[in-house]
Amino acid sequence: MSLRIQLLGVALLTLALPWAGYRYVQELEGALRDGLEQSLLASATTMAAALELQPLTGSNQTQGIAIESAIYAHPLITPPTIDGYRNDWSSAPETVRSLGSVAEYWVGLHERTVYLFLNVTDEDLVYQSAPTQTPYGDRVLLLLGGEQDDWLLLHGSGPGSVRSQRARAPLFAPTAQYEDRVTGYWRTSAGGYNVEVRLPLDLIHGRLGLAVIDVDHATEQGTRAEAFEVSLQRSWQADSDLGPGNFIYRPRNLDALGGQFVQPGKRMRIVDPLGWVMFDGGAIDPLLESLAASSIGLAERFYRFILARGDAPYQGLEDPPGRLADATLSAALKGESVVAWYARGADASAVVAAAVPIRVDGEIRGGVVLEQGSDSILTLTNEALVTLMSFTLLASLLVAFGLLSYATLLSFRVQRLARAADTALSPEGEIRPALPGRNAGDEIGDLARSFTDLLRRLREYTEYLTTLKAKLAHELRTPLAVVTTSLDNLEREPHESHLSPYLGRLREGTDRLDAILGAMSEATLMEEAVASSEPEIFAVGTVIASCVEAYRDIYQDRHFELDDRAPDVKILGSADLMAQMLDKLIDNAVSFSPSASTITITLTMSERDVGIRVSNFGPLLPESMRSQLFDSLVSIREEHGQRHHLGLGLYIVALIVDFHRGRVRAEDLPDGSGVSFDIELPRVR
Amino acid sequence: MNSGKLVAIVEDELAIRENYSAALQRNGYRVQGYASRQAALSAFDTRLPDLVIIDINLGDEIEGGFELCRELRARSAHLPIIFLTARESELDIVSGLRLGADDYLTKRISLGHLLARVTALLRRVESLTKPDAEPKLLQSGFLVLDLERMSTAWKGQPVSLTLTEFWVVHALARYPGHLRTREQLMTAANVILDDSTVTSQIKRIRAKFTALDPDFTAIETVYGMGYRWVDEGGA
Repeated sequence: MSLRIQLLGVALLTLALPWAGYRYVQELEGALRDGLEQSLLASATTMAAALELQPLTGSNQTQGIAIESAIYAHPLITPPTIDGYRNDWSSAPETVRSLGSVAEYWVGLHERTVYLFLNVTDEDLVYQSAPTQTPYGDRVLLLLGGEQDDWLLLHGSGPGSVRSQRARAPLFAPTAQYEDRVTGYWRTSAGGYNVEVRLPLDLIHGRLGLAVIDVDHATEQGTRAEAFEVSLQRSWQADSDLGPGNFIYRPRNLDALGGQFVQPGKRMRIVDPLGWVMFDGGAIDPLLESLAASSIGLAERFYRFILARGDAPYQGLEDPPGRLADATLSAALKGESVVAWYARGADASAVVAAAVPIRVDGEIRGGVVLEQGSDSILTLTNEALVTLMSFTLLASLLVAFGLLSYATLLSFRVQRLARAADTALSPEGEIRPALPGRNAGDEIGDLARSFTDLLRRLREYTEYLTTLKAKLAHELRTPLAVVTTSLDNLEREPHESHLSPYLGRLREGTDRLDAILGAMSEATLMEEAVASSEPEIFAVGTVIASCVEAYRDIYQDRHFELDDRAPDVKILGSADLMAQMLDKLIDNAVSFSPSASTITITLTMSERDVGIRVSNFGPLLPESMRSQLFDSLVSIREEHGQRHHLGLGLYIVALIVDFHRGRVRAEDLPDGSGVSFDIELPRVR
Repeated sequence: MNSGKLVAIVEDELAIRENYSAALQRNGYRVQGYASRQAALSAFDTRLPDLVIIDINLGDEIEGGFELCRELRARSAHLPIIFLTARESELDIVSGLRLGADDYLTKRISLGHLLARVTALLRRVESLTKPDAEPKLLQSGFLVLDLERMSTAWKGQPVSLTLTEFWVVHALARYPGHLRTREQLMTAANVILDDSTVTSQIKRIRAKFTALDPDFTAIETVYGMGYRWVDEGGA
């Protein structure tokens, strides 16, 4: 993994900054929430304490009757006109209740008058045809009080006002007894009919039931008399003997009192022990202008998303409308003060609600539910978060960029050093120890200096080694001269004949020593000749051809074959040295090949190189010395001739090949019959 | 005859000096040996020898031989001086210095070959001091060789070749167009060495001619065989 990726990984650590910022804002928000909770709870508790002395239920509710049967009257600001239209009702449409699947109804209270609006679904409207004839047509029933005998009937013979009539179970036939205090308006609608009713509160006696009788034509055929289906739908449980449900409404005394406690930005509800809302005032702040007006940007959506606290969605707290049904808050009615949060979606702040029980003498008489929006928190956290996140992300990016640049710089320095180290050893064997970057003060500079030192010492040593041979030859020269000249004189002085053999062997020995030193000198000479020779472009084939001619003359005991497949190929170098190189190779080939055998010289060419191959029959290359073949002073093969070999010939070959920037290698022939030397030299176009 | 001729050897290695002395004396020369430049100079103050053999490396003075040669040349233009050196590479240096020595050799040379040179050089001095003798010339193209004086001229200008170089050129130019192998050249030059040395000799000879005449191509290399003198036109 490159330095850049590593440092980029380290740069990723700076993402801890925005993360820390995010956590900070979260904590901040948490603290603010806590604060809001506490203050809300305190307010609610205060209100509850103040309300301890007030009666909370507006009607004496009969115990034991199912909550589902209860009918709750929502307050109406203005009395609606009884005209069969609900558009003048001030209560919210959501306060609707359903009467089975037959009808839905709204109930409202204005001062001491109760208003009912029923929307009945009836595909087949049947009016009473004759006054006393069953089935008496579609009609609506009201059951007042708990005695279960005070029935009022409303039906129309057509759209228009209706007067209620007393009726009796179970037939509920209209009687002639009208109750003028309960009047209504009957109007047909798209799916059935609407009935709007008004009746005084006093008539209800705390219990109210609604029922709808639906008369439809039967689908029987083939009978002369008309057949009808009649069904009755009640608003209370039919199979209990308890009768209609409680009629619940808000006591007037609480209006004024509750109104005193209402604070701006807070919605206060006072509930009775069963959860029925006795007072509802105030409103959660509408969204602040600044928030409402601006559209929420993508960044802010993201921030709110990551700050989301998993609050339950806010869906109003009443079910059915008029009764507190939220599980958490209802705990207050068991005596526990509670605070809960509700989310209102991405575009609005969360709502915090506190519910506190109202106790009188240890008995729970109801509760106070106080709600507040958290716009202030929202604004604060919004701004804080946006700013914070933006800055920290920017800081992160900056650091990452900085680290990346620095990594690139480091990487470049290291690579430059690596490249220089690679090329410190030139193709000519020259060592250039001065590496770039060794003036830097840091670890890379140290590395460069260490390398430079190393290369310097290597060069010194190499120089020492390369001159060793020359120095050695030089040192030995003088003592050998002493020996040789002494022997010269000795040979010329009269001596006894029995001494001659000794003199002869002395001569042989010194001759060999001389040859050895001579070969070493020759190598040194060759190195200098190579170093000082000036390259020129020449046709290598011509040189080789003339050499081969010479060899045929010189080495009478061998057969020479020249296979020139690359005529006119030119190289850059020295023709002289090339000839000398070939001399050495042929010398080698002749020495190690049997008498009268053939030595083959092949010239080939490729796209970039010229190939020269010299092959001879004879013993194979010994495995052990294969890699040292071209080093000085290696003499390894069995000799067929008597020339003294130091192996320097191959060293000179390697020297010359090097000078021509080529390659040489020695291989056994595939069939094992001999050896070939292959040289590749770059050619010149 | 050789009798009476005084040869001075300046060589710091006692054994070699004595061996050279013995060989020269056996051939009838008188020999004086000196181990240092100072010793030789003080002796030469009194009297100059007939030929001096100088080892370049004299004791403490690495190039004491060069110094001595300069001083000797200052005193005599014709005194034959032969340089001896342990290293072939120094031959190039010596040649470049143009100190006016008559020959430079390595110590690998055999005593027999050294004697041949001493003889030839002494004979040359004699013929130089007898100017009215008939010059024996060999001409080939622009080359003129005076065989008695052992001097060389190219396009009328003198070329200062050492004795060894002179013998090589003579061997080549004697039969223009004929191939001379390295062995033949070595024999002619009175030296038995290796191929590289001949190559170096030819290189030095070519350099001297080319210094006078950049178009010099009279010595032709025949790869693998040897060299050949090529006439370039009449003179």
